[in-house]
Amino acid sequence: MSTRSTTARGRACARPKPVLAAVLAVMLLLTGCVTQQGGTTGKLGRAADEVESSLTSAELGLEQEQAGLTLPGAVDTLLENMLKDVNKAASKMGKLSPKDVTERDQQRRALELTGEAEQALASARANLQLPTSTPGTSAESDIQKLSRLADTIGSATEGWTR
Amino acid sequence: MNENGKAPAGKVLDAILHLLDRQIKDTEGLVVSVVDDLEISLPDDGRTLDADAEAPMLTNLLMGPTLATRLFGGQPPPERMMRIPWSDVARVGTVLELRNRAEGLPVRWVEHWLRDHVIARIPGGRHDPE
Amino acid sequence: MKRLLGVALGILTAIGGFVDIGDLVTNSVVGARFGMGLAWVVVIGIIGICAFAHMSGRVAAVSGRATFEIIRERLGARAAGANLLASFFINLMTVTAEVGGIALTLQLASSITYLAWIPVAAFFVWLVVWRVKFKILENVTGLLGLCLVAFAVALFQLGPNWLDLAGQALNPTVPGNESPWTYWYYAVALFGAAMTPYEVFFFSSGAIEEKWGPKDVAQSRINVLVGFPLGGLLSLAIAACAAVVLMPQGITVSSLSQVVLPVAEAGGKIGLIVVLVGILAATFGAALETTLSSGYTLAQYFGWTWGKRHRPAEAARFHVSMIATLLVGIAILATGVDPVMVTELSVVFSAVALPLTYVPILVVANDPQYMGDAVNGRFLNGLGTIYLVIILAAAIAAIPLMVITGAGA
Repeated sequence: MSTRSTTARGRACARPKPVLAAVLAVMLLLTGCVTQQGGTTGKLGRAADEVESSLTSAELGLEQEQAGLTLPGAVDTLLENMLKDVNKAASKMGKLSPKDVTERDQQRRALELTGEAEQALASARANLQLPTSTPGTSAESDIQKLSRLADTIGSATEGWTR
Repeated sequence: MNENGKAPAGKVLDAILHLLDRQIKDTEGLVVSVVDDLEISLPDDGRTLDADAEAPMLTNLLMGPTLATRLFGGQPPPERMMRIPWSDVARVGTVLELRNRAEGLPVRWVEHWLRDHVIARIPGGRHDPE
Repeated sequence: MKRLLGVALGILTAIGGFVDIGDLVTNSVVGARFGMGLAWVVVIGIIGICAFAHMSGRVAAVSGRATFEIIRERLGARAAGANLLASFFINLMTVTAEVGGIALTLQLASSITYLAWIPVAAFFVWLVVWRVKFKILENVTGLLGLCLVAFAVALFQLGPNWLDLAGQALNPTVPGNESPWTYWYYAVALFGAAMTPYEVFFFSSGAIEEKWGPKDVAQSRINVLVGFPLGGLLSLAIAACAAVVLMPQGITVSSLSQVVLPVAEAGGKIGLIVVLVGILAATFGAALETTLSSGYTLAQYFGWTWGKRHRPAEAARFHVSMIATLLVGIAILATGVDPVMVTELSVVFSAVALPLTYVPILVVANDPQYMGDAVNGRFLNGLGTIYLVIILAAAIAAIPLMVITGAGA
């Protein structure tokens, strides 16, 4: 009646220590060997990719809004989220420390374009709140602006993540 | 190990495997508690027993604060120990079943306190779910 | 006829109840970055959850004991206590993610910020746990969750290249701009999203709540074997939608508003409304399940009276602990932390916690002292052992992968 229970408990107790040590050792080894690719340029490139993705998402959302395919809450939330993402990407870019002139130029350019992205998204979101008949605002122009910016960022940061 | 002379079938039980950490249910199947520790009638001044002295008997099931002391050491003060006498145990299976109902037992005080001070204050607490 | 309806209800509820916020977010993220290249993980996860959910229900029905009671009995108070700490923490993370998911969905529908919806969502989760009967809770959220089929409908409306999608699934490759480490990190995350640990606690405790007999076990087998795979197809549809609409445009998913973009694209306002109802139901249902699981695990370890079948006055500690859990969840979300990030972390940590729950179930399912004659057959044991290896591998690999990839960055 008594032996089976001991095996389960015994197994549970015998496993922890050596296994844990092995796992920790492997973890440390791996984190030491594998570093994120690319250094500063790579990190800038990845952040720029995020900005591009946010701009494209916003563009898609606005196109859906134009075509009557979506709900006001959905597109407004989308723009709010994308703006937040771009802000985060901008602060990530700002925190990097460039090692030479090239990297410093890259950081400057990336931050510049990201700043434009933030402005474009913020104004697109503000325009959404306005009634459609207000002159001078057009979802079309917002969409085009976002699209253009996305392309600019894409080509400016081409190859940075390699 | 302990020989359980009071259980109906006179089975031999391993106290750690079959009693410790087991659920205790009352006659109506309501969960009373879990066996957090066991109290045995050993002299606690650490004397070795004579070979022909009376064998130590299981006196009580313990629950509540004894869980923490069992895991981390020490002993709770006697007033805080929650006991169920071994004589109240009717059956030993995968669960321990008592002879009496849960209501009268002192172990229920946390449950009752929370019931009276928290649950009763929230509307609907005394109704069955619908 | 009535029996047929009952069976149908069970299956439909299982389908609708399969997906939660973890599945939604992770499948969409993966679909946008890897296409259908991780579809095989979903398949493995589905088979696993089918086997273990059913096993835990059967163990509970036959032995009359719920999972955490058994864990404490078999592992002893100390090991089970450590298990409880880990399981409860991860469960808490999942509760937070689900409540966050409810709030995000309501924001999508209303334009009112999700922060305002958080207390509302938590309140209604609590209210249902407090007052509503188990069966009703399962059925309503399960059936409404079927609205998630809008993802599948949208996929068809988008007219994708099916051969291409199938090719991605059957011949998985890591895209050029992604590293293999990230691929495997998301494999673990997807696995954790499919095989949620709380499912085991919920299933086994539910079996006892509803006093399952052999007929119920048989019914549950049908529900699980038919319902879960169909639910898994919904997961794949979510990934495919992202693969078809978002991946070509270089969009990576970081918010729920992006997850639904493909459905709006294909199905317009109606499609979007339907899918939002589905997401709301699925996350609400999952929030209920995880909240109950936190109550179940604590109560079963400490020996409190537990169960929704009792009125709250009879299970005071059980209910107080769930209220406390929800309050902590609200507090975490109120700090402004991104609920989607909480979700992404919760699925990875779920993968780490899987062995804690599944190993005891597998062991007890073979113990005649609990199961009598109904111990696992050879097939189920074989399957269980294979999955044990997979689960342990995923659990060990999860944290290192998270560190290496910077949580999938």
